[in-house]
Amino acid sequence: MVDETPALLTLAEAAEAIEAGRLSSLEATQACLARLKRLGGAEALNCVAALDEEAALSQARAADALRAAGKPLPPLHGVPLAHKDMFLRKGRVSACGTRILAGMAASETAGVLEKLDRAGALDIARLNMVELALGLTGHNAVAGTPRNPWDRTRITGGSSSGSAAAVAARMIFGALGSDTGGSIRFPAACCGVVGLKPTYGRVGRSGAMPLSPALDCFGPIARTVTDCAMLHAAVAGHDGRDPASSRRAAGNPLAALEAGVKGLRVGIPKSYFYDPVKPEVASLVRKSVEILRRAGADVIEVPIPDIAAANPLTILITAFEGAQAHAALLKTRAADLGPQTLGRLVLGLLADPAAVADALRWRKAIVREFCQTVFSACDVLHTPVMLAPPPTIAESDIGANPGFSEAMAAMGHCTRPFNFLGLPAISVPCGFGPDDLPAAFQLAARPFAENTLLRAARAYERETEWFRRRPND
Amino acid sequence: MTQSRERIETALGIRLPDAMIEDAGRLAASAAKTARTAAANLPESARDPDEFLVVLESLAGDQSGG
Repeated sequence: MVDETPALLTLAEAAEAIEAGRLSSLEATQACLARLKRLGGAEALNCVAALDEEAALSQARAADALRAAGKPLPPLHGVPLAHKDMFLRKGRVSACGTRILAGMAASETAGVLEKLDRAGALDIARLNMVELALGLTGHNAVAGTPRNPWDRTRITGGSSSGSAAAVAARMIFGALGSDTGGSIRFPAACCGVVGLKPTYGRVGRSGAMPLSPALDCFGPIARTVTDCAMLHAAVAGHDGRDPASSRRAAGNPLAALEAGVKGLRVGIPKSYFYDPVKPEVASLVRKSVEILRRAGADVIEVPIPDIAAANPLTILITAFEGAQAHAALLKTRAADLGPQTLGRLVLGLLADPAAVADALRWRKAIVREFCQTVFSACDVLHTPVMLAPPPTIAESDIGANPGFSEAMAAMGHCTRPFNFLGLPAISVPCGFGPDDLPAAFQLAARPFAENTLLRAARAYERETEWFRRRPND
Repeated sequence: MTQSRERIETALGIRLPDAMIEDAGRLAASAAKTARTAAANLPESARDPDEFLVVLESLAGDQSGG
């Protein structure tokens, strides 16, 4: 019988215990594998796409041997992770949530995985995702829909559905996801974990499935802000294989993580973000503002430029660029795509290229106006993530409820603007609603200010420690 | 729309459900209108050729790694 308790540690606790020799990488990996097998399958949370147990155990034994040899250890040495099934590793299959790619081994390794390898992390499983990352609810008609660990009838959110569910259910210490319209932050919010979408260009995107090169960002999902900061520290920085990768120094997100929010200006939006948010969600989000205020933040109401167009234009750009990125699949295997995926790509095929060009031109102007208006008045902007508690899988299945498509577009009301603007944003758990479902708030900041976001999020987390609560197995 | 539908169905080699085409067509038309309206109000100075990443880096402020 494998001892599963090491899997209940946070990533930071596990890394420290492995480094100190109180926990072996093998024990940590066996604990995670046991939970991935027991809880991750189709009959339970359905968040595992593939698991190679022998390869995982072999990586763990190698990590333990390295430690025994007394070599200097990198920061994530021996810590088992698993990622959204779209980050390629040479010689391995990444199915990207679709049956079309299920048999194709990759010819290269994603830049982010190379960085995590250098940081000493293990890569022990591939996690389910929305087909081709096209959707915020988590539904996947071909690979199956992951279930929310807090209530298995509910959505996990998507498209990094398996990543958020696996982290929340303590199957794995952390995971990478991708965020084109909210696909890290939304599932993190639905599953009660932390998700960081970095600034556009902060984390390289080489060797991973593209969806929308103008919008795609990769980032961590983890149980705590500190865990997210450790993963972000490992993957941030220039990627020579990504033409839109910034050379700006990433700094050390851990250096000032505990510095608190005394004097930090937290902006509360005067318009847009709260407009369609349900009262039970809004009240939990507003309570988190009071906690930040008590921790020393200066809370200020800030005007918001008119960004209502950002949500529909993000949908337009994603569909248009997605149809281009997957043109070969569409030409040869369209019949094998799920209906929701096909519908989004058909939107892309119908999109007017001139409209997409207009949208991309407007975003360069609106991000200037947004930063000037908002971030001259505050350091971080505080908003909701979700409009409502996570709906049930059945009620949000547009295959069965076509009328839900408008609500589905609206789900990205608070997240898509930050993809459109390219700004960093983090989703932070802030308690539980009347149905015991997780709630979350979002912080956004100027370009490349991820470390400020992490510091503010950590200050809130220190006061609340929602991460101590975990879903029943 | 009929021409677009025929073009897409020929390219994909499959027939598409009416509801999917109608939904996608409506969304595409609405988004195109939104994009045109947004871009029409841009000042001339906003029509710069900079890459988006360059714009973001110019807005980053002094927060080395921050």
